[in-house]
Amino acid sequence: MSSVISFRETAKVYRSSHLGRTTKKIGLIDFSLDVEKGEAFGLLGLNGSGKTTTFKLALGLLTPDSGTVKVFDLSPKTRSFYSRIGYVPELPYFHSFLTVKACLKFYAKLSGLSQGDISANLERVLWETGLVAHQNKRISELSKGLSQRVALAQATIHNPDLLILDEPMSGLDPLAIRDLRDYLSRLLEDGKTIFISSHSIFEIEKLCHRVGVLKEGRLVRVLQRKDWESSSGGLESRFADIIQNDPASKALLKNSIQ
Amino acid sequence: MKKIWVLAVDSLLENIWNRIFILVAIFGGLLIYASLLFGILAVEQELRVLMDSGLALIELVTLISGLYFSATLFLKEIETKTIYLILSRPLNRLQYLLGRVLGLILSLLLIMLLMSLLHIVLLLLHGWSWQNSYLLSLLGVFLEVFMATAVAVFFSLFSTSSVAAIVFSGSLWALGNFTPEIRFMTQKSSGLATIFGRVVLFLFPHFELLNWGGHYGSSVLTGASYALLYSSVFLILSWLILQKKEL
Repeated sequence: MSSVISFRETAKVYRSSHLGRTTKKIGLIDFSLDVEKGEAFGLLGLNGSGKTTTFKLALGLLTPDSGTVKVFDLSPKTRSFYSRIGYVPELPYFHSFLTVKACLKFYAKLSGLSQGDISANLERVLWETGLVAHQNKRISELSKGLSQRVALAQATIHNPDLLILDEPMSGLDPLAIRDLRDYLSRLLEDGKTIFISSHSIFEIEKLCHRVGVLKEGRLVRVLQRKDWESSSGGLESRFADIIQNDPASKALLKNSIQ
Repeated sequence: MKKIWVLAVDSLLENIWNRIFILVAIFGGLLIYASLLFGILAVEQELRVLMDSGLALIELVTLISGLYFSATLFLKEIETKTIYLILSRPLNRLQYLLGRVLGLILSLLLIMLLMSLLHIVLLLLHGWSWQNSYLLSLLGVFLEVFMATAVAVFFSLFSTSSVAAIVFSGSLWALGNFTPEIRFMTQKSSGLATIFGRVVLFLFPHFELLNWGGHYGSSVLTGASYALLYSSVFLILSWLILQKKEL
């Protein structure tokens, strides 16, 4: 398999200044990872562990302080491959006055689709995300679950090869989560690559082929599906062990602090 | 170019939908109506007072709207994460900036159009007959506001507070109306005061160049070229900041 996203010893430190005092916060440190074509890779970690920073670096929204980031073998500063990426940030906002259809058309146009492709892709994505019956509703009329479907629809309207999803299940009810998981599974069957973060370990466990555990900006462990399937407590207990007790991850963190 | 236009229309629609925009339009209408009252007070010069106060109010309302829209634009887009959804598409930050600024220009033109229509109706009701110089005055007002909003866009990109961006650019606009006086004082001063005065004159906008009917009258071409150049400098600086900005 070939790498779709590749991080090599990537580091990102956030600096903020106030009244001449500069404070630093580690976003990501010594981060190396390859996300392979056609796989679903999950990122797990506590709040502030570096999940969103990882995604922003891949999208070129942040620049690494050291190391490299490559997407489709190119630097994120090269914007030529962006038509191959779909992104859902955590709790995205859409103009409340737009209808679902108008909102998706807006993002389709920004993705560079032709008028003909917009109509065809709009029809496809509305059907795939179950939004056909809601296409003429305003965003302000939608429930949280339906809004999240719009978020997924805008990310897939241009039929990208790679989906980057930051907490897409946040705030969804169980049925909406099931629908979302089914949709993502279908995308995987179509050969798409999914790079996802979520606090819903149960969903990550079902969807992902591999999972990376982030702790304080460092990737402390990458687990294969067999690792958690062979564990009695599943992924949740493996994750808790790594975060709380794992000596290897503690040693890694100690080294990085030093 | 198509993507820039898509972004511009999106900004325009958002501003039209925005209640503040509607409130500003109503506010402008009410203020122009109030200028009628000034007209009644100045019986002999009623038409002139109505013309001058109306144009001044159009400028003020457009300026307030422009500063508000531009100072909150990027901060709001970052806060709502809309900017992430846009910049994760195949378009660069320059296209993004141009699209949003074009949307801002369209919004300001729409506000001015609505208010000036109201103003013209009021003037005609008071026996005014059409003069092409009215359009020139509006062009001057628009260019003046555009210069101030270009400055506000620039400040908003490295400020974490939209209030600070509004105060900075609003102050620059206010002082830009006094550049003839600043020039006079610079000529009369010496030493450090002269250097300071020259720096201020270099940085501050020279709005007297847009006062085509006034005492400092310059040609329309000179004034418009100056306004576009001044705004372009701030927009280029904004682009350079946006290129490096960590989102």
